[in-house]
Amino acid sequence: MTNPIRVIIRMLRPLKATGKYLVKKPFTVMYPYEKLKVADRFRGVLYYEIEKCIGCGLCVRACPNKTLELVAPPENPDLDITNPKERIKARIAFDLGHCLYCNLCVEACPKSCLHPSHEYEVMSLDRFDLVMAPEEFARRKKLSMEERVSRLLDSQYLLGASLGGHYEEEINSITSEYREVKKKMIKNEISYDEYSAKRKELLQKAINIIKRYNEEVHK
Amino acid sequence: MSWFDDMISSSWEFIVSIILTVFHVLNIPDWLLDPVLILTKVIILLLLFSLDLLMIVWYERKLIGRFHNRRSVTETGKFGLLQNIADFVKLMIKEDIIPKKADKFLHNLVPALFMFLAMVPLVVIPFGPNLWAANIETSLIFVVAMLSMTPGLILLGGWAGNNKFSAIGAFRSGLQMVAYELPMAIAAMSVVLLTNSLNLVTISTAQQRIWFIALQPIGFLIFLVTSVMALERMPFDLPEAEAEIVAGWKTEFGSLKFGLFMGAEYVHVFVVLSLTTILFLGGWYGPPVIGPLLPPVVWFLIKVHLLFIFYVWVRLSYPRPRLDQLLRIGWRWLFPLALLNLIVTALLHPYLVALI
Amino acid sequence: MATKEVLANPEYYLTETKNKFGDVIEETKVVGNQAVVYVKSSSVAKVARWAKEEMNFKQPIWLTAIDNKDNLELVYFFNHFGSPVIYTIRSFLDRDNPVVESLTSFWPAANWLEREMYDMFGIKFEGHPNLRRLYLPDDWEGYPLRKDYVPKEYPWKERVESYYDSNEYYKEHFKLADNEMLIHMGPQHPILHGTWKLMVRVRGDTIVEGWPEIGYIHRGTEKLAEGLRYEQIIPLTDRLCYVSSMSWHTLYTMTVEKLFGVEPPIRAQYIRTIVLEMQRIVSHIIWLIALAADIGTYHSLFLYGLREREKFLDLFEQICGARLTYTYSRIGGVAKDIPDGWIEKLKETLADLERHMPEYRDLMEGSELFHMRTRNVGTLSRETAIEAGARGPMLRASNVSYDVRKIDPYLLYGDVDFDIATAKDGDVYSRYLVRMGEVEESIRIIQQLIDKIPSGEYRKKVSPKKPVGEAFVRTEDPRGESAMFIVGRGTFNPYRLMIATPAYMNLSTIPYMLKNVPFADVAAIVASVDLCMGEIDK
Repeated sequence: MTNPIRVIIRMLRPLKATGKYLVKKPFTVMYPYEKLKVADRFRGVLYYEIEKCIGCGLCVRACPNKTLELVAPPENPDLDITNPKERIKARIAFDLGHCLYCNLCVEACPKSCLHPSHEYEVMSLDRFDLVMAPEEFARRKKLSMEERVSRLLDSQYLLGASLGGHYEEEINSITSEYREVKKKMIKNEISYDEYSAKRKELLQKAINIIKRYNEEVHK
Repeated sequence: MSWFDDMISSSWEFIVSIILTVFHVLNIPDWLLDPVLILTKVIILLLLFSLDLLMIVWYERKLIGRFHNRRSVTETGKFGLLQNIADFVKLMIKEDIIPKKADKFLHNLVPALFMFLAMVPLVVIPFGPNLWAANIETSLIFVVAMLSMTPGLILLGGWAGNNKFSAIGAFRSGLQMVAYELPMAIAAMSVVLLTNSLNLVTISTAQQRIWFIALQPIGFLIFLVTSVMALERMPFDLPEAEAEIVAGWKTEFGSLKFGLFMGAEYVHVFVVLSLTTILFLGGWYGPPVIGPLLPPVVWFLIKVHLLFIFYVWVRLSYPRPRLDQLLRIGWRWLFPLALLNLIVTALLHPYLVALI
Repeated sequence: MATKEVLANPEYYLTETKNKFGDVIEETKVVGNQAVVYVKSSSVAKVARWAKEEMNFKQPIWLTAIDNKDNLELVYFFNHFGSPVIYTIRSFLDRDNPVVESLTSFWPAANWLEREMYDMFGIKFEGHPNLRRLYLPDDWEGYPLRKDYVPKEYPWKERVESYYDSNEYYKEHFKLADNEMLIHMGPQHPILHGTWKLMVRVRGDTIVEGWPEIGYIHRGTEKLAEGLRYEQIIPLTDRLCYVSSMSWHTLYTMTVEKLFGVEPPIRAQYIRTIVLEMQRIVSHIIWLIALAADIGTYHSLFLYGLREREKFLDLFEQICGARLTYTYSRIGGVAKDIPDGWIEKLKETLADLERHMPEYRDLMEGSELFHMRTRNVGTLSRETAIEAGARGPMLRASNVSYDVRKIDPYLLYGDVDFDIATAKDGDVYSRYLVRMGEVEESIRIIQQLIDKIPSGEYRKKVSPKKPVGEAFVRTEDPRGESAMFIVGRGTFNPYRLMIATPAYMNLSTIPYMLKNVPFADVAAIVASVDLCMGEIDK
């Protein structure tokens, strides 16, 4: 026989615990009408100060997930970024779809040009929208898809990564072909006009692949 | 509260006069007058009751949010008042799917019958002096009988789904309800012993000087606890919220049928709470000093709603027992206690009757 | 009888082993607390049995293998409840036909560990009752953790359910009787707390037998780690158990620091200890609310616990910038220093928690229905718990007083005063009592440390190294005893990273608890194990 007084008390204690909350203020924050203030150190989307960047590539080396990559700067799209002497002019492209927000790149940068911002509300209907050329990464301007593909043609990972791993071989072959052609042009093996024509052709191929992937995804 | 009684009687006379005029104009025979009047009373009662039902469903959700220390139901309408209508419309526009091998007739019949059986007891419940739709001499038995038909319907519903697990859920639910209807009925019988009548109106008017909760405290507790269990409210909703296999006997019903089940559950709650108020809490009589301030029907509804708040409070605070533990509580503790209560009431009968 | 000091010395075990098994022992050495013994592959089981029965080593911490290019090296780690010594048995197996005798006949806890080795390396264990793949589908080709593994295309789209998942396979292999039914619960199910399958054999309303099937979120962390550098692996280990991620990446950085031979500064050790104890509180709160939601307290305790956890997450956000996957520890210290005002906020939050603990206790212990649901449910007796390999609170609830923080202190646990929370019965109620006790002990530890944090540097700059050697570190995760073992062979990335997770061993004790129980008890039993599928499936 269990002790009936103990049973009765045990039936009433939970009522007391929940009943207290009848008169307390609710803890809810009515998002999206009210928003919580984030801490100072909050690790949101990265912010890039393009003037301070020296193109050393330490952030690219520190990233665990191949999110950052060096590409040719806007003022000199024919720069050969595989040449160490010229690489100092290259700038960083960024794939938000791969970023872990771990901030290892922030710690690696010697000139402190990467910072975490307080932005966390990111939305996109399209994976390729999340890949950013350097001036987009620095929030300077927004490029269209064709312009962006044109700026990212010498990235080995980012173009293919934005397609979720599909068409990886095709995109890798386009980017490696582009780099070879650019090297040839710099060594004066082919003329500049040939190089531009080839570049346009490769650009169109890449744009077609991306458009095809988007159509398949949005079907 | 003469202004309230005058208002009700004058509006009722107005309605009767309209009906008489209609009868006179269309030359309808006289013997149809009584049934039509009762039908009108029932329709008005059900319409007013639906308003109260909407309000109950809304503030149950708000109360749950309060107890949980959070905000609840705020988006649709100003304070979430249109949420019920939104839910109802959503349920209506869904597709009604009947499984291929299920019994089509039963599948269509059970939800409607369920709602019908839930709403029928409303016509005999007195909400105030002269505020009822029908006055039967044995109205208490009528209400308890209607409530006891629920397990049979649940078994039919579980059968109609043609699904092994929903049948098992229906069997468990039937077991639970049967186990708890019995102590509930016995606790009600102790009140009947005091007033010597099964008529709900007589029981209400007998509590003019003292409410029966003072004369029957244990009976009140037993009735309250068993009614939570018989209604399958939390925390005793084992057949419904079985997260183990499937969602119980209501699984195979979709769209409006499911809406009818949900609505019928709330109608059941209202009926049982009204029964509790009439049997133990004094019906439509207010507390001694401030009684005459409000009309009797308002006191009735206040008591029903306070009991409902107690139900919501209980729902949030307890874990769910297993089925065998549930049945053990019912058969081993509550049933003998209810019988004991009956015997003690019978022994102390003369002294208790003197207090009425 | 040997005294405590003698038992704590690894040399003692090595001399005893050499005396008993002189000829099959190839080499012995002492590495820190480990007594390492190299054994010929044919006598591994004999030495292990002797270690269990004569020398009182109680549980296998983990079993792993290293793929040296010309052979496979099998490594066993065993722990002792009375001393900090770890007995390590290593043996070399032939690469083309790796066969070894299984330990499951006398050590049931090694069951899943051997299946994982079969899955990842292809090592066959003779005498194992059920040698099937653990993580990967049964018709996968190849052994992933071998160095020469080339992934082949697996037809995921065509394969909806293989033969090995179907009822016919189970009917044939498990011989269902006529009145029995085999139910697959999962992989998506509200009471399972994760993506795994629980197979139960049901007779009427009673469960006759039940066993788990895992591997739905296997991401190959150990293989990925072989391709990343030491500094880059820290975010990867974060995502092992996302509910208590601070403990995993701190364990990883401690292991790498031991490999590099770097000692973090004292301020960093204080900060790490405080943050680890906060993480323990948060993890136990989540366990409590999951248990409450399953048993049916219809989410009131769920929401109160989440509100409590929000305050801790705000503190974490202020110190490291993230709320779930922290990546706070670095090799050589912690990433950032404590901001101003954090310590006062921490004290306020702890005071809030202490004020709310009686409420949580009211809703759980103070409720008769909770006692009805959890007493004598899912009982593991003391011997069964040790034999089955239960760890952490599940072990301590069965009256075993074993905690890595007391036996083998790391960071600052040797200097702090706290008790081990134990309970006697081994049912779900005892596990609840143990975890609530641990929360209170954690509050005590934090309160002892919080005013004494010394000033100094919080991070030592450690340049990338190419170490040669091995390191093994174990800690007390909120779920039990966890360990990591790194092998470095002179490159910037590790040669082998072994992760020993406690929830894995706890999950493998489910078959012992699901013998002839009513079906309604599954919710309580599964919730009491404290699962986090991220660390089970790695």
